[in-house]
Order: sequence, then structure tokens, then C-alpha cells
Amino acid sequence: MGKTSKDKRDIYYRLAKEEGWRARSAFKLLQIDEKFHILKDVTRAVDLCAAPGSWTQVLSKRLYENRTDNEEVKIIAVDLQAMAPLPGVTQIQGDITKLSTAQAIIDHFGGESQKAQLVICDGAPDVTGLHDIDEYIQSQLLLAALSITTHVLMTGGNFVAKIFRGKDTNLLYSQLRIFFEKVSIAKPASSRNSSIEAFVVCQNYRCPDGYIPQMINPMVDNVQVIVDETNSNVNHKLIPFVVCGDMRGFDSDMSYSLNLEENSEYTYKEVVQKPISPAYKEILEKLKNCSIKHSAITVKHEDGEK
Amino acid sequence: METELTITDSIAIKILQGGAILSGVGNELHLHLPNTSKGRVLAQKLRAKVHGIADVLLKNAPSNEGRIIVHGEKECMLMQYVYDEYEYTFRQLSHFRLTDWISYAHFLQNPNEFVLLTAHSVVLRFLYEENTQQKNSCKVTAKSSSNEKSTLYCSHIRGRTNEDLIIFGGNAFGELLIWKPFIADTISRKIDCIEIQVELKHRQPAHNGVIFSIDFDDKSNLLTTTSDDRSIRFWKLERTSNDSWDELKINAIASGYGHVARVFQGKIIHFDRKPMAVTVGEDSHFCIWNSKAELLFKQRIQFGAVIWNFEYDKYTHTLYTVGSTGNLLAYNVEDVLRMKSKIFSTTIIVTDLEPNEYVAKAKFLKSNMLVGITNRNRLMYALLQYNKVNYIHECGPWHIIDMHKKYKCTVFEVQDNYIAICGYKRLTLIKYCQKNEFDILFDADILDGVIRSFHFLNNNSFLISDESGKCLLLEGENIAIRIAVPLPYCKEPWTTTALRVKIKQLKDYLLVSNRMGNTILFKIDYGSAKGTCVDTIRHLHGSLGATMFYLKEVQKDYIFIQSAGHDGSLRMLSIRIESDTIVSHQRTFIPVAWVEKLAVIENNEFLLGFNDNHFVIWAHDYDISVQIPCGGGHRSWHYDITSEDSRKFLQLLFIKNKVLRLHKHKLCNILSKSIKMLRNQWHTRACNILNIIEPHHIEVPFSIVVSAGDDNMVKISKLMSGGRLEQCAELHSHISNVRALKILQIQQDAVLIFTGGGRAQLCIALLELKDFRVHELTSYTLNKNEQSEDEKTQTYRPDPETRIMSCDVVKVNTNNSGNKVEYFVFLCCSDGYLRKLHVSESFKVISEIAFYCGCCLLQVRTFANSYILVAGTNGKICIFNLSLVELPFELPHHASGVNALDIYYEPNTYMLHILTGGDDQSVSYTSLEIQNENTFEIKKKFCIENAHSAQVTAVQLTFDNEGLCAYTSGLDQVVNKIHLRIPATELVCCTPISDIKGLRIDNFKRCFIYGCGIQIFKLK
Repeated sequence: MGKTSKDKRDIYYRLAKEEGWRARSAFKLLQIDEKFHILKDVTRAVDLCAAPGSWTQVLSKRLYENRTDNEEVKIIAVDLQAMAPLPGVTQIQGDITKLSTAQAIIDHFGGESQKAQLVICDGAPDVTGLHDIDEYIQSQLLLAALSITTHVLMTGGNFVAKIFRGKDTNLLYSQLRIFFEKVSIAKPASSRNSSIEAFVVCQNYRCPDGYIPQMINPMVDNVQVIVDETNSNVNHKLIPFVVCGDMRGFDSDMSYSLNLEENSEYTYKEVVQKPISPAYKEILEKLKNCSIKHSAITVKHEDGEK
Repeated sequence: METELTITDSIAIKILQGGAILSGVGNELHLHLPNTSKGRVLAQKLRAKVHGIADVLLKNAPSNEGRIIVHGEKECMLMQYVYDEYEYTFRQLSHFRLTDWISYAHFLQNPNEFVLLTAHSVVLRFLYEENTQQKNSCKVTAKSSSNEKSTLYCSHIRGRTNEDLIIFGGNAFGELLIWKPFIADTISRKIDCIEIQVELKHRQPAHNGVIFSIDFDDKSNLLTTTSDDRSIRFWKLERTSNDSWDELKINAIASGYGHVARVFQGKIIHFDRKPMAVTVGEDSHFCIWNSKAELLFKQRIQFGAVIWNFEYDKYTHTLYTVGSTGNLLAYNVEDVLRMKSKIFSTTIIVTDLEPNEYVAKAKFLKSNMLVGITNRNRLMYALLQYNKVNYIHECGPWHIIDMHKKYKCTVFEVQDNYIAICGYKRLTLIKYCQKNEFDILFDADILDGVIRSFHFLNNNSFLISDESGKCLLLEGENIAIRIAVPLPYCKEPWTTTALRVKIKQLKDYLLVSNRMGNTILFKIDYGSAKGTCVDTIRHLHGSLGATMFYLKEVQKDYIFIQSAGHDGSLRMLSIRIESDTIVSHQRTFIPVAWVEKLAVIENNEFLLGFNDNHFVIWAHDYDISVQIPCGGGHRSWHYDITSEDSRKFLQLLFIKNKVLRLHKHKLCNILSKSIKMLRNQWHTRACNILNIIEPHHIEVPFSIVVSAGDDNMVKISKLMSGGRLEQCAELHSHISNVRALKILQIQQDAVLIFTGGGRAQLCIALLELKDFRVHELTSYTLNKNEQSEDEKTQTYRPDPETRIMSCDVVKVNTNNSGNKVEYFVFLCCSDGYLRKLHVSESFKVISEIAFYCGCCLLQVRTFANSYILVAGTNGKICIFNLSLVELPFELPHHASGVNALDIYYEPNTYMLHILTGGDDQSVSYTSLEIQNENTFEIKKKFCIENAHSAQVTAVQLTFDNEGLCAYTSGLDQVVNKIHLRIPATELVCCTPISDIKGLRIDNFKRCFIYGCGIQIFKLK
């Protein structure tokens, strides 16, 4: 397949490169904002699992737009990986499950009275191909994000995160409903129809009475043995399904001709930021000079080498 | 719900006490008894997919008994079994759920005690108690939680007592985590359940990516990890003493990169007291490594499916693998582990050669006799003797066979007792007589130039051709009859293979392939001694000539021939006897790049050929069963099948670096190596669409399933009694994934299959239901006509690369008498166009027109032979007439994409029922009445919001006692029944099939639900 093939099949991949976004997912946040106005009047925002940084980019662009008091705006991007710097964004290289990370965020914003107005998380695990595991790990990530959010988000703030819809999503919805007044599911036009991905938009954070935010994950430390339930239908938690606005009229499932308007010229653009160190990078390097179709490469490690 | 068939991921496998193999397939447990090669599904099931099985022997039981823990997601089941050689009986002891994912289950010394490890590093110790009054119970007696809370992707538990237990975990960051849950002095037995928090003992950065498996061997202190980064890594653990884990040093020994995709499982095995490791992964291969991470053996085994897990039977040296198609496949690795294969390879020393002389071409004349011709054009032979003690071949002295004249040999062929040598103009034909004597039958100039090919045909007939394209069909030992075969003039006109088919007193055909890749059919006229070209197929196997024609079947009207070449595919050809024409019916892709020969061994067809620099033997049922590094296909090579002590051997002779080598391979090993288990041949990737041809005809008394998927295949399978799907045919005509499928019955025993998919490709094939022969009729790329015009005028047209998402077909009679049939094919495409193809009776696309709808289209259906219904990602339903004129009618059905659609049209009442499932989790229904031409009135409309808790991707209308009803499913893996009158939803069942793409219900009220696998179950 040619170099431009992906440009034809994926309009958002191409637009992201042409408009300078680090990933096509930038459009998902923009489209969620079109519908829910979650970026309106926000000056303090946190992007969890930020790398490669396309959502942070959206924050950095939108939060500083039409403002004179730029000092007011504070954006924090948290990730285990380092990512290329972005203007007006403070990066914290840390683990979102750690209390220290939460404290660092609060400190940066200026203490307990100045907590974040918005927390977003577009993080996803490396999918294995087994849907049950992938869904489970994504739900763990979401709960970890929720856990830190309960620390850093001010009352009335909003939270947006990615979910994989599957057979256990009802549980997640109800968990989120404990902390937020309104929980909606959004499927932006730029998220593929065929993908199991969707987004939860949680509005108006209200910590339940008497709840003291803790860095605990409900799944981890409260393990109880419950006798297997009957085969009864799980109560469906009804969540208003809201589809995001059709901001551009582009459909991520559609394939597009390379010239969107007549007479306009198409030029191929390299991606803004290539993926950072994928797991198979090392083997790809090795396979440049040899093939392992019938053999293998053995790498000896010196004693004590990690 | 009564399940008839489940094909889905199999992740867990265990060899039980007594040798039976238990594998989890979806949420089911499948038991295989190796002695009987029978399999059955246990009545006990989980609700989740089975992810792991732990096994223990009950030593004090009165009979042979064992216990297992089966776990999946958060669910856990404890079972007990009684066994003898042929029967296993299982009973459930306890079944419960935790609130977190179970990563590992492990029995302790006392089989009433076991531990479960959760994905967040909590170890729970359970005690199973039998109680006659109350229910049997599993009680948590201890709980230990590690301070490290990252989600575990894999884990391993070592030790059989509390104090011994060591937990190994691997996370997404490539870290290996080691901790000890119960430290002796913290354990107090007085309390009902003790709870402790412990610190991590060791954190070891191990891989650049997720760790998928960990194994540890106490004896050798060897630890292995496998990962996303495609490697297996060997580690040596250094402890101060065997019991002490306090001062732990972990040293990396070496890493092995043998897989080209993720390595999902690695385990340490012992052979001859040496530790080794086996790995399996996403690339469908297994690798065997020594403890220095050096590869010992590598083999593709699951036919391209992902391998999730395996078990090694140390008694039979058999590897049992399980993967994404649910198949359990066995492979005997004893020879590999013993490194026997090396012994079979021998270098043949050729004696009495002059300086700088070497054997340039060599063949088997008999199993124990080699003939060769040297670069000095001397013909020689030698006898082979097999030394059974040392497993080596001993080659006797070489003798010169006297030829009248020495000349430069260009072709050297051997068959039965004949040797043919060709050079410039000249042919020498030699026959081997008994007692090492050779007769020269013919030795003279026969053609005009350098002879390039000589083929042995049947019954003393031969075909010879030279560089100028002169070609003769020869007959008789003394070459008395010579029939001129006029090869077409071209750059390299000589032949690469030939087949002669004589039909008694009727026809005499000669089929040849030339170097330029063309296949030419000749009719031989004996009287005038002339061959006449009657038909040609251009570039049958690409631009190189075919290498093999194999006569498959001679029917009354047709002759079927299988061909192969250097393009990694087989073709089925048929000669129509009445018209003397030849056509290519079907193309099948095979994992052998260069096919050279087809050998029938014990009624199994094996293909012999080359992959890169390896000689390989492949069969459809056994996959690649022999791989010998020989340097590649550009060399003189020959093979021979021989029997010794009623065992069959393959002997391979080849020349590498001017040295003659002989390789001997036990062939009975091929047949028994992969112990024959009933293997399903289901799609190795997701199945996107499926249709059923109901039994309707006395000659077709079973249901036929036509399915297509992401593996680019269209499969045709019979549904046998007992719920077995038996594959009957496979179509390989698509170059990308297949999403759209329409079946059109044209005769009682023939159907047309229209398929569409990625790369804008539409294929049409004819399937004969009696014998499952497939004729590939058309492969059409959308916009092709426009493109070719552009090519002429040399302009660049940026063409949309579209996917065909769905298709439907209307049969039309174009003249009044109704005997001329044409087809309108309606395609909805991802570029937002609804397309109509006009297809002629001979399946040529006459015209293509398109209408732009503005969003990615997902569904198309035709009804009443006059209308087309279309739905896309905008959630609206539109109606067109057959001329693609949009009617002023728009039906909003969903807030976003319409993932599933079914319609039912009642011609008597002009009522159309539309049922859709959406990305917005809802199910929508509308009934319309066609009032008069092009106007519709909505009679009833409702939407069940949140009918599912995820995308709805499958809907089907059907009838029950109350009339029209529907079944729906989606990514939440729940099947619902929709009562259309009330309207109401009723839960039917849950299914282990993930990423559901659709469902079908047949006339027997069987539900076929498909996606990542397929499940068939009977509805109430």
C-alpha cells in the first residue's frame, strides 16, 4: 500500500497532520467540547496520560484563546513517559496512581482553593486482542484517573475520559454517577464507528457527603467474596446517549478523496510526532539487517545487566 | 439455551492427571482424551471466558481423582474429577466471584487449600470445606496485599506451602515484580482470616513493553519472561539459600528474538534433565529455545491463528497449543528435542572425480541409486546404503555410465528407469536395466537449438522444446513418433511443465506452460501428427511459467486440473471437453512460495517446494510439516519416497556449494506428528458477515454457511449433525477484508456469491452445492473504468480508496421472454457513495453509477424488487428507486451509526418492517406501508433506548408464535429478544463471542452469532 493510502482512508489522520495536531484524537476532544462546552471559561486543566500530547495541545490552544490574562491559565500534563514540550503547559512525569502526583498538581494550581476545573484522560492500554482483558484494563485506567480526579478536581468541575464499551460498562457508569451529577456517553464523529471506544463526559463534580478522597481503587482493597449471582438481567443503568456535534461534517469511517475541494492541491505530510519508542522498536532495528523467518536472534546479556 | 457449537478464543489449557487435556473455549470447557481422539464439552461452564486452569492430584482418594480450579475474569469454579483411561467424570464443588480480576490460581500442598492472585496483587488463601448439612464452601483464610498496585498482565506462583509462596508478576511497563505474601512470623492461625500488607521484594525492569508470561523453574533457578517486544528473556536467580528470598539477585542471561509478533506464552520444559523453553505467540508459531536463548526449532502450527497458550506433555513429548480459533493442536517434538533431524543429513562424497570436477546435476534413479552428471559432462551413478545403527547413508563408489559422445548438458531429467540428457540440439535417452546395466535408447540431434526442457508424460511419451520454441511430442522408447507442437513465438518460448490427458477415442489434450507464464491447451491429432493450439490462459501464475499440472478429476464433460507456480498459489483449471476450452476456476493461496511437485502419500496430497532458502513440504491438513535449509530453489534437487520397516521416509537430494547432500526425513512422523484432532477451519480473524443456505433440495440435505471475514477469506461450510462445521470450499479472491455478502440462488443446486470489501473490490463466484466447486466469475474494482481512461490520457486522478460496507442484488430480466438474466448490484461504500453496478449475464460489469449520500454508508437492502433502503453513520434511513433516484422520504432511526439492519417485506399487504441497531445502544423499529408508487406511510415506529449496554451490532427479524419478532445483540455480548407488538426487550442469553458483528436465525430456530468466533445455539 502506498504512503498516501492511510491519508485516503482516514480523514482525521490526515487533517491532524495538516493542522499540526500530534494525533487524530485531538478532534475527538474538540468535538466533545462543541457539544458539552467543557473548555468554556476553564483556566485550570489537567491532562492525564497525556503523551503524545494531542489533548494537551487542544487545551493549550483553546484555554489561551482570546485571553489577555495569560498568567491565569494553568495546564498540567501528566504521563509516565516524557513528551515533547508544549507552550504554556507544565509537564509532570509521574504515575497517576500516586498521591504525590496529585499533590504536585494541587501545589501547581496554588493549593486546595484553586483546584482544577477540568480533568481529561485519553489514555488507553496496549490492547491484547482479548476484549475482556482490554475492557478490564481500560476500566482500571479510568478508575485510576477517577481516583486522582477526586483529589485534584474542584466541586462543580468536569471530567472526560475514554472508555471501552463492552459487557461490563454498566458497572462503570454507576461508579461514576456516585461522584458526578451528570454522566453522558459521547461518541465523537472522529471516533470510528467500528471502534469499541467511547468517552464518558462527567459534569458537575460533587463529592458524596462524608467522602474523603483517597488514593484507593475500589477494585483493589475491598475484595469480598460474593457467592455467584443468579443469571438475572443486570439492571441497565440508563445513560443519556449524546452524540457529539458534527463540527466539520467529516466522518471518520468514510474514505475521502485526497483533494477535498476541486483544484486544491494535495501534498503528503509526515506525522507531527511519531510514536515514542514502541515495544517492537528494538526488534525492528535488528530486522533491518537480517530475517528471522527461519531462525532467531540471540542477544547475550552481561552479568547483572538489566 | 442449548449450545450446538462454540468457536472462539481458547486461552487456557491443562493436561489433567491421567493425560486428558482440558481446554477452555470461550466460557466452555472442552475435554480431549488422547487415546480415543474424542472430545466433549463439559456441562459445567463459567459465565466469563476461561482464562486459567489449575490442577492437582488427590492422593488419598479411593480412586483416581483430581481437582481443578477454573477461572475467568472475576469468576472462579472449583471442580473435582474421577478418571480412568477412557472416561472422566466432573462435578462442581464451588463457584463464586471476586470483585477483582483473577490473574492466577494455584493449589497448595493440601488440596483443600488454594490461593488466588488478583490483578492488583492481592493473594487470597482459600479453604474448601465439605459440609453435609450446609452447602460446600470456600472460605478465605488469609489475605495478603502487596504495596505495588500496578495492573498485572501476567503472573506466576511458586511454592506449595504458605511460607514457600513466591509471587511473580509482570505489568504493562515491562517490570517484573517479585514478592512473598506470607512471611512466617506474620501468620497467626488463631484468627478466622488474617489480613496482611507486604512490601515488594524485587522490582526488575525486564522488557520494553508489556510482559505477557512468566515461568520459574526451582531446580535450575531459571526464570523466563516473554513480552510485547517480541522476545523471550532468560534470567538466573541467585539466592543465598533455596528458602531465602531476602537477598535476591536477578541476572539476565540472554534474550531470544524468534517471533515476528507478540510472544504471549513462554514456559520452561525439561528434556534429558536440561531446561529449555517453549514460546508461542501472535504469529502462529512456536519456538523451542535452549537456556542460552538459542533457537532450536521453529514451526508454524495454528494455521495463522493467534496462539494464546500451550502445554507440554513430558511423557509423550507433545506440545498442545490453543489459539484464537479454539482449536487444540498437537505437535510431537521428541525428534526435535533429541536433535535427531541433524543426523539425517548426510554429505555424499563423490569418488573418482578429476580435479575441479563436481556433480552439477543429480537425481534418484531408485531409492538406493543416485545418478549425476558432472560439470565435465560425465554421467555417473552410485548405490546408497543406509546404516541403521548410525542413521547415516553410506554411498558406494561412483561408476561412469558410458555415453557415445560427451556434450554440455542443459537438461537432466529422470523418471522410473529412464534418464534423459539434453544439450545443444541433442537428446540422449538411457534406460536402466537390471544388474547395473544401462541401455542407450536414443542418442541423436533432434531439435535446432539449445534444448531447454524435457518432460516425461504418461505412457512412454515425452515433450521436448528448445530455445527457439521448437517443440516435439515424442512417443515410444526409440522416439519413433514425433508430433510437432507449435509453441507461440516469444522471448522465452520453451515449456516449464506439461500434462497430457487422453480421453479414450475422443480427445487427446496436451496442456503446457511456457516460460513467459502462459498456459496453452493443444489438441493432438495423431493422424496428421500435429498439435493445434485451442485455448490459452495468460499469466496463470504470474509472469513465470507454471511448475506443475496435476490431473484431479475427469468427468463426463469436464477435466479438472490443479496447477501451481512461483506465485504462492494453486489454481483449479477445467477443460470443457465439448468446446475444447480451458478456464481457471479458483485460486487458493498457500504458504509455499515456489511449488515444484505434488506427491500423494498415504492418500494425502503434499506439495513440495521452496520458501526462501528452505525446502518445504506442505499439506492443507498438516500445514508446513518439513523444512530443510537447502539454499533455495535455484538448484538441482530431487526427492524420493521410500519405505523401510513399513515406515515411510522422504529422501531429499540437493546440491549446495557444489557439494551433493542427502537429507532423510521420517514421513510417518509428518502424519503422526500433528496428532489428528478434529480441527475447525474457521476464520483466523474476525468474521464480518455470514449467511445461511437452508437445506432445500434432496441433494443438499444440510444447511450451508457462507461466511467472510478480516482474514480476506470467504468460507463455505456444511453444518453437520452434532454442531460441527465442516469446511467445503474457500475463496481467496479478495485482497483485503470482506464485509459485504449476498447469496443469490440461481438453480436448485447452484448459487451466486457476491462479496465486497476493502480496496473497493467486488467479487462474484458461482458455487455448485452438489460438489462444492467454486467458479470465480468476476473480481471488479470500483471506478476501474474511469481509472483506465485516465491512464490513457496520463492524468492523475486522486481516487478514493473506498471500502464496500454492504451489498444487495436484484435479478432482472432484460427481455420479455424472461430468459436473459442480468443483475443490479447495489453497494454502499465508505466514501459516502451508493453505487449501482449493472452486471451482464456473463458477469461483466456493464456500467457503474454512483450517488453521493454524504456519510459513510453502512447498510443497504433492496425490497419489492423496486426499492433500495440505505443507512449510514448519520443514523438516518433513506430510500431510493432502482435507478438510484432518492425518494422524498427520510427516516431518522439513531443518533449515530446504524450498525445493524434487517427488513421484512410482506408483498400482500405492501408492508415493510425495518429494524435497526445503533451505535447509540438503542434498537429502532419502523413499519411502513407502500401506498402507491414512491410514497410511504409510517404505520408504527418505536425506539428502545439502551436496549444494550454497548453498541448494537446484530439484529434479525423472525417469527414466533405471536408473529413477527426480533433478536438483537451487540458488543455487550447479550442476546435480546424484541417483542414488536408491546414493544419490550427480553434477555435471551449471554454469549462468549466478543466483538459481535451480526446474527442469523435459520428455519430450525438456530441462532448463529458471529464476530471474534461463532456460536450456534438453539432458541426456545
